[in-house]
Amino acid sequence: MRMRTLVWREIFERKSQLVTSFLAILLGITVIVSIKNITFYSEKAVAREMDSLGANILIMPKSVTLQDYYAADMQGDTIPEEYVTQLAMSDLQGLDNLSPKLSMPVELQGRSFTLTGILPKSEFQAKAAWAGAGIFTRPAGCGAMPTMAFAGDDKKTLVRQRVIENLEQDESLVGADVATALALKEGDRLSLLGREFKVTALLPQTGTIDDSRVFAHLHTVQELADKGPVVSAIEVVGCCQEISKGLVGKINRLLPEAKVVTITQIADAQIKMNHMMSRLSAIFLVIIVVVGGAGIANYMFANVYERRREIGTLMSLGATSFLIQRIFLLKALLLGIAGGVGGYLLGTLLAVVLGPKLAGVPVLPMPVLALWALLISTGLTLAASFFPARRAARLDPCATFQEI
Amino acid sequence: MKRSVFSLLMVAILGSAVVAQDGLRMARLPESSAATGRQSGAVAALDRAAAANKFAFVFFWKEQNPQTDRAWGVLQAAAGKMSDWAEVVSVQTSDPAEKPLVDRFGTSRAPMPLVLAVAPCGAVTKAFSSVFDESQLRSAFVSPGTQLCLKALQDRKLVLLCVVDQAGPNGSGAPMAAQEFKADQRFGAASEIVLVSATDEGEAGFLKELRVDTRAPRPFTVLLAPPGSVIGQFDGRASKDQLLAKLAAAQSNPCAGGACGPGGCGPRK
Repeated sequence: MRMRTLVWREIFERKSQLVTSFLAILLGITVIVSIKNITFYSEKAVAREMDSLGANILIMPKSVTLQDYYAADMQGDTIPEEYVTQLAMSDLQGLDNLSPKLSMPVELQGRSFTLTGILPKSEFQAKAAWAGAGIFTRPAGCGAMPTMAFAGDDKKTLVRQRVIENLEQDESLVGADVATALALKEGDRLSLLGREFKVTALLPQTGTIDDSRVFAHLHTVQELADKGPVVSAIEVVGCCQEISKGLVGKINRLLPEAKVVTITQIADAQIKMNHMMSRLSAIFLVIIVVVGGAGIANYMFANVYERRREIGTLMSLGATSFLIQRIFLLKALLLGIAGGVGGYLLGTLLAVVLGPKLAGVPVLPMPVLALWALLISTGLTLAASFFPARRAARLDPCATFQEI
Repeated sequence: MKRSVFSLLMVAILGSAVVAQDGLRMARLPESSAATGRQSGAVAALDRAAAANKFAFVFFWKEQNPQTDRAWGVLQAAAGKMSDWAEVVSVQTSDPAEKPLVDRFGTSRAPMPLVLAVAPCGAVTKAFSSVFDESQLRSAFVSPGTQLCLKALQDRKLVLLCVVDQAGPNGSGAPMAAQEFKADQRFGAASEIVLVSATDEGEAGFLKELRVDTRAPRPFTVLLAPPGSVIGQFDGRASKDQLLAKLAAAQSNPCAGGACGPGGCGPRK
């Protein structure tokens, strides 16, 4: 009889207990893998957002509560557009890039999109210079790039830089999803609410709500919305250093009737959830080690006790202690591998399906977690089976025969 | 007796109302062009001030209210003491005849009332919203070098501020790099050379504000970009290519590559 046959028969000796032990490992590994997978992509999304928007500030009506940065202007309340001039004229440093927005829903060919009015930088940048000679003391950089009339204006940078230099009253920039749905290309004419727009640029895919927007001049959208000189939100592509020096508080004092938030505050809820999930996965790891390990150890001890006569027979036929130990450890190893692989596959499936619903981010399989799943599950089963296997290896064949 | 006291009281009340009315009339804004049917005089007034080499305080207002009256009163009182250097121009933004001026300065959506100090060259040297005083108005009088720089920057042009020993006519005396930069067809129309004499006491404050090292050998060039960023300072030996390289570096996104993210200068996790 070969080792492989011995181990295989040993595995299926007590099926119910085997299934229980296997399920304990499988479920534990599944939960850990799925939590780790979702947390990884959620943290990556937050880091990406903070990387590109880390120094950004949002100025909104006081009544607004915000979960998604990119949908900041998608609520009905408004603030006066004159806030933009107040900000541009103020002596606050770090406000070089302002992006006021006003949004309204529109229907195009039976589909719903969002028409967003934006104010190009050229229309308020001159007002920043109304600070007079004091403007020369403002720090260079801080998220603001010097812009000149001769510099080419790549309108597609709107989605990355969040501001646009120039935009005529009849120009429009179309989000990726809108362009695809309506089969638009640059240079086409687009009719919105009875007004003709020229499609100046098709914006690249961002994976955010901006993909389903049509951007036009703010004042044109104000006319179409019949709302007067108001905006839904003002995005400030801020200066990192100035934010840490209390820029948010200074803007609050300048505009007491508005709400001022940073990307960190908006991302705070997501960051907290990520931390909680990380802690949860650690707790599950402890549970699986303690409960799962204890269960497997108990199963193995029971197994050794029940099979002591067969073990004694094997040893009397010439099997060494090492061989006996190997049988039980191999059994544990196979159990661990099965639990690890099964747990990884099930956990990955859960993460890919539930991740977008729970964390709002796309989740992809992580092969590295397979390695960790196998290491944890096999390590656990081997560790839990070590003492039972050693006990089996130390059985006295004569003593076992005396029980017959 | 009681009737006579009552009558006297009524006379006193009516009399004080008449006096108060007169007081208000003195501080009242000029009637708008729409009310009088006249063509806008604001543009003409602005041109007259420029021709006389005077500043103009352009008072934009939307409707007559206590805030507007108060600001107008302060401006009138202060301008009266500065009549040798400045004129006052009133513009009601809701008056269609004033649309050219409103559009020129883009004040249709600005907080009202708003005062813009306009230099003879057309540069806005200062802006005041609602609350201001005479000393703040006086701070709008800036040096000719500052005026020219602000004008070019407000026209979204690059400024090659050349600090020389003696400013010559038509940009002569400017360092070669600045002249070549201006002569370059790619940048010529979008840049201005402004010559400032290092020995001119009037420009000392301006140069100090730019944090320019005035002890550096002259001539030297300070490159400014809209709305007022100092790109760099170059000595007389610098080449046009060095100016271009510095400009290109300044135009790269300072927040690229995570500079404003958690690993950069942005908010920490």
